[in-house]
Amino acid sequence: MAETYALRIEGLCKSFSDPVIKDLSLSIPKGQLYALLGPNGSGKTTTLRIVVGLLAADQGRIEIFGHDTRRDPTAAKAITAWLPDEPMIYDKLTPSEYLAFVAGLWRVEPARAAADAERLMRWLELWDHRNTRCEGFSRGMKQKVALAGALIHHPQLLVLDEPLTGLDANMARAVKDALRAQVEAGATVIITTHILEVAERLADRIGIISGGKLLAEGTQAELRALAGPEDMTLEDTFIRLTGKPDRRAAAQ
Amino acid sequence: MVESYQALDRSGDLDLLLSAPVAQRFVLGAKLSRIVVTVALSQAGIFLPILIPILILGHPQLWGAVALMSVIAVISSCLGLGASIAIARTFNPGVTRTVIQVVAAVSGGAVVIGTQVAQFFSDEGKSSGYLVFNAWFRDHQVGERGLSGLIVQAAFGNVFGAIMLVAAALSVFGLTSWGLQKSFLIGFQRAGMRVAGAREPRGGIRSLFSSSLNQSVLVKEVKLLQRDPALVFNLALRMIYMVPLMLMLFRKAGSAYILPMTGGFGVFLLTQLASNIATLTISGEDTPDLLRVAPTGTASIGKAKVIASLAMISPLMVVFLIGISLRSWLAALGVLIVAITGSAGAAYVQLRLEKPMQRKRFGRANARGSLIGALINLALSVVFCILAGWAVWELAKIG
Repeated sequence: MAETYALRIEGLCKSFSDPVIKDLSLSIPKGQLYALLGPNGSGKTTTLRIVVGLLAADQGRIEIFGHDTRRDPTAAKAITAWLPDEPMIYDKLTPSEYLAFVAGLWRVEPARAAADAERLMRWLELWDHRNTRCEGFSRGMKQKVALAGALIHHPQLLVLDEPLTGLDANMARAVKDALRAQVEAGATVIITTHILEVAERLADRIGIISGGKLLAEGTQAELRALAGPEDMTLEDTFIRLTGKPDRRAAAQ
Repeated sequence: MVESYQALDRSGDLDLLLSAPVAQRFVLGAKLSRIVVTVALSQAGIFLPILIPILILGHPQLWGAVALMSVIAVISSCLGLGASIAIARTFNPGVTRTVIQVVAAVSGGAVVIGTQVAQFFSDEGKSSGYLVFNAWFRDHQVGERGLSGLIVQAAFGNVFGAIMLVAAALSVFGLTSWGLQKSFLIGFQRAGMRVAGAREPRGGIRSLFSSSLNQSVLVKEVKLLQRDPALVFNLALRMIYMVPLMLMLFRKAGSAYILPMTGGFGVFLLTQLASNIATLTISGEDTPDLLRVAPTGTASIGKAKVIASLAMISPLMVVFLIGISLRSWLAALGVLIVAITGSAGAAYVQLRLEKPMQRKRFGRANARGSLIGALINLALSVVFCILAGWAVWELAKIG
């Protein structure tokens, strides 16, 4: 039977000095763009770092397309890409060399990887800079190189932590288009973001996490219905669910 | 020079300081003071533990030596800073850092190599390099007359000499501080605008791709090393420092021992080089998370890095093997086995002990972390050096 969920998290717990993730369970259907929202320190990044294998969970079970990340991490990693807010690139390599290295790590067949690298660099407008070392690039350019690296091995699950941080409007649009295109091509994309408008415009489903727990999850309409009156915005819903005080009222 | 580079380039606070409502001359004066104080503290750490007990126990006139040390710290810092700024103005901003490091390393290395060369050419190599220089100073009455005499007298408590030196140091400090305002800011502003060069790889981008993890890691490590000439130079310099030792040993050994010593020394050099390169490839990792999320496993990555380290030392290994094989091919085979085992062992020690960190932080932060690894690898190098020497000695008798 074909796997319905791209990601399934069950009873996830993680503590550092204090508990950060508390019994978190979440299922994300495949072929969707899922936005994980939450205030600072809510456990979004920690959750995603556990999903991609950068942190070990204290408790719980994670499956990526049916592959248990603890029992079969290699199979899970082979179909997953991770893009943190700080691009994972080598300043002294060119975009072409970086993509070649990433393709080698994922053992992508060279002819196919080279063709995909060219396609990705043209698509992300990196082609003219393909032989320029990344050290002179802007943050947005570096983020695009990292995105190309994440896509070179055709991941089925793309996990991005604050992918639009520090990008100008044009770059942000390019990244958003790239993510939507991945979903349309059949991949599943999970992003964390502080920008509610991004989640509103981009995501098929939204999860709201706070204090290491999933407070609510669903489509925008479902979330609004959960929070109260029909004219509520996602921001109102978010504030109500995460229990933050109404600062406008306080200011008045 | 190194401190100038650290204070002005690496501290990363100049944007904040220069945008603060404080006169630039104060900011740059404070930076120069930091350089002087760091240099003075380095000197003090070496000399004061010896000097102060002597001073207290009956040679109070040696206060002048403390003053002289301070003066030397000021003047040498100013000279180093001046040289760094001159380099920054002369060279492309993109290579300034490298040139400063290289010139600083050569200046430091020149003293060691100079004393060794002086020893090598002195009276059949029986005098130490220090004694050769000392004799030259004595013959030319350095420190007895003129300005050099005044400096020495100041060190022994001559108040007039000390005042003159302090005045000279303060003048140099003031002049350098003024020059820093005039010259440094232009270079600082230009440095942020550097553009990396671009060249199409031979065979197009398709030639860059490989499905082999080992090859991908090797290519990446070679490129990263190639593009950091300061690191390459530091590695080369460590090897160059060993050459005088080799010369000294070879001088004292009879002709029958030359081949075993060459084999032993070659293995020592290769093991040390493998250790240094392994430290770089294993610890100098800018994106450890990328490697951890890849479906390759940390063991495979570590193995690939060890292989890359061995591949990078292989040209030097070939040179040594060709040299030895001219006398005995069997001895060369023995050296090959010992060299590969020793180098792989050294790289493996680094793999077990090192932790990844960004390459740009490599120079400073790694010094403490790798101390245990460096000591283990030094011991390993000595053991394999002896083993190689013995193997060559025995095998050369056979064929």
